[in-house]
Amino acid sequence: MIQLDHESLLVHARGSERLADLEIALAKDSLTLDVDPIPDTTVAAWLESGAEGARSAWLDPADHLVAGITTSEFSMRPAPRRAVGPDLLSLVLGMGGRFVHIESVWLRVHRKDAAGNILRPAAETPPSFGPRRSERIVDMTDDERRLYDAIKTRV
Amino acid sequence: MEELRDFPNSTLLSSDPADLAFYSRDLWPRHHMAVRSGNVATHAPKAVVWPRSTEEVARVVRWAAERRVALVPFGAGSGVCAGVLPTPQTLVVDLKRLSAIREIDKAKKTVTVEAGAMGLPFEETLEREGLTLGHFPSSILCSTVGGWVAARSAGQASGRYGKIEDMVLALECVTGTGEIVRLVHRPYGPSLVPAIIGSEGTLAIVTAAQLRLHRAPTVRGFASWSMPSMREGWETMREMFQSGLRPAVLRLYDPFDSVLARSGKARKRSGHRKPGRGTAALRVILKRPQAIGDLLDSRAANVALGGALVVAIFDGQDEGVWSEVARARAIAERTGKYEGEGPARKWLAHRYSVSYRQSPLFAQGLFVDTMEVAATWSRLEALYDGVRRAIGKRAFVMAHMSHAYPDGCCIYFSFAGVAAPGKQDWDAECEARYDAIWRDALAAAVEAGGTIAHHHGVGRSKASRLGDELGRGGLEMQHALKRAFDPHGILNPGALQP
Repeated sequence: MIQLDHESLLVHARGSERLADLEIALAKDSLTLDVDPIPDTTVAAWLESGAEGARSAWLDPADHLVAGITTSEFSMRPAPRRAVGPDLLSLVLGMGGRFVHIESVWLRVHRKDAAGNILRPAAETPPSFGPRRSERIVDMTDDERRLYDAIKTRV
Repeated sequence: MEELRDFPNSTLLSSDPADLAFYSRDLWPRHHMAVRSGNVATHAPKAVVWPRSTEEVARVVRWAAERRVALVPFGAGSGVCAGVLPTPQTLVVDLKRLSAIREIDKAKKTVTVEAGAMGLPFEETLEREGLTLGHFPSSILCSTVGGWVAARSAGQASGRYGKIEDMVLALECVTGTGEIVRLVHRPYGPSLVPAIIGSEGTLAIVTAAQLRLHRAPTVRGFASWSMPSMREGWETMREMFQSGLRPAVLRLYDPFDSVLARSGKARKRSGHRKPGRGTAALRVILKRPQAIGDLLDSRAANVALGGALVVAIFDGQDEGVWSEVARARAIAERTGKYEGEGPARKWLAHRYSVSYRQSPLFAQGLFVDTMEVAATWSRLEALYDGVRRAIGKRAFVMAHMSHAYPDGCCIYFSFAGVAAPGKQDWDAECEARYDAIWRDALAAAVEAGGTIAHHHGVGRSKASRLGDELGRGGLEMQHALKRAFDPHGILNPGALQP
């Protein structure tokens, strides 16, 4: 079961929803996630493993993939942006479920007639970042590993 | 504090009363009210230190951690939410001597800059290289790179370049144990950079940032439109962003704010200004803010004031800019009337002026403040109406939409008030009125499903509502981060705490 916010071009989907099924449901409303290729996995697993195939956030800085989320530990209502302390999505995206598990999420969707329709890329992609998110979880630095371990013991 | 005097000569420590007075506050308007009522420097710190290197910052933090001394990182002090509020036991760490541009990599279009670099000189240095960060907060004259990161800042060209969180490639920071760490940003994780951005100095002291750059625009397109109402105005903005257009600047002003935007001038006067007839008239207006607000909401007033105003600026390097302007015109002129390039050009020429209109009003016994909130497009009208109603009971309020995205928009409310009838200056009653405005406005934002802060942060002034935004679980996650980065709780204690 998905919930569409047509006006804001957001979809609310359960973490257990399969990405391919979500894309089929969106297509009925001429909408798309604009993920290429669509991986054979659930929404939660896809986000927790690094959102492979999503449009690069470097290419269009005004456009973010996740607007709101409900996890096993906390919930964030959908908003285009917020400045309310540390971004808790840093404990979710690409983290393999180490800290929390995704129950549901508000994802950005695109009108099929406008997907990829930015006249020119809004920004230049920094070297080593392609137009699509392609890396799986990358190696963390020692500093990051140590800090993540410290966070884990306190969650 | 004697031990700090043993630090190398390059570290400057001061407990001079003049320094302590200067570092006792940021630009939270409630502080201005306190100063106006004679309470100067009521939050003076114990001392101020100006480290000149990341290693010196780390040594200060280690010293403080051993002694459990609270530290308040300080950039240029332009925050407006009481992120800086020292106590007599606090050491303020001013980072402005850590201001070097360590490296500009023109090929990779990156810059590594220290946290204390002031905004405008930094951007001007980049522009001399044909580059831009693309970050132009209205505070650019009085804010630092570290402050931008700490508050999760937004610049006026966010439509094309994003907010500061979209610009940071890596951060160098000192944690609450004095450890120097380098964190790398990976947009879909794992990355702790988003945890530091917006943490307001409570997790770590940011000492340097690697930021992405862009070629400075060589072609710039301007356009503006008057709109029958705010609703048509933000529908135009929504359609532009959802159709794939990315104007660097896209702003919508309500009819009254449009009058100021169209006039677009900051008066050049120096010295103390005595209240004149204009101020007297404003005082009369501000005694009945709700009635004036209702009057201005009327159709006749809307027409008389010229309607709402949308200004747009498109940046680029080639003729593609003109096709974007043409597409924007096709969208906007379904409901709006083209007003030419003039208002947008005027806006650009005076883009930093408006913030400096506040001081004369404070000097004349009025109070002025701003509130930036955001919501998805589907909740925008409820947010706009709800917050305006809440503020409008006690103050005169106007609004503009300052940052748009495909899924929503930021509303920037400006409001002005006055002490009770007959009062000419600040007192407890005036402060109570100010506090009530904020209490009701934040409640209305939460009620409407909006976020309580888009780019000013939370500090202490909005902290009471943080639980409504994040829930108990979210607050606990923030506390877990705090304990991991700052186990002794010495970094800016009190900020971000409900």
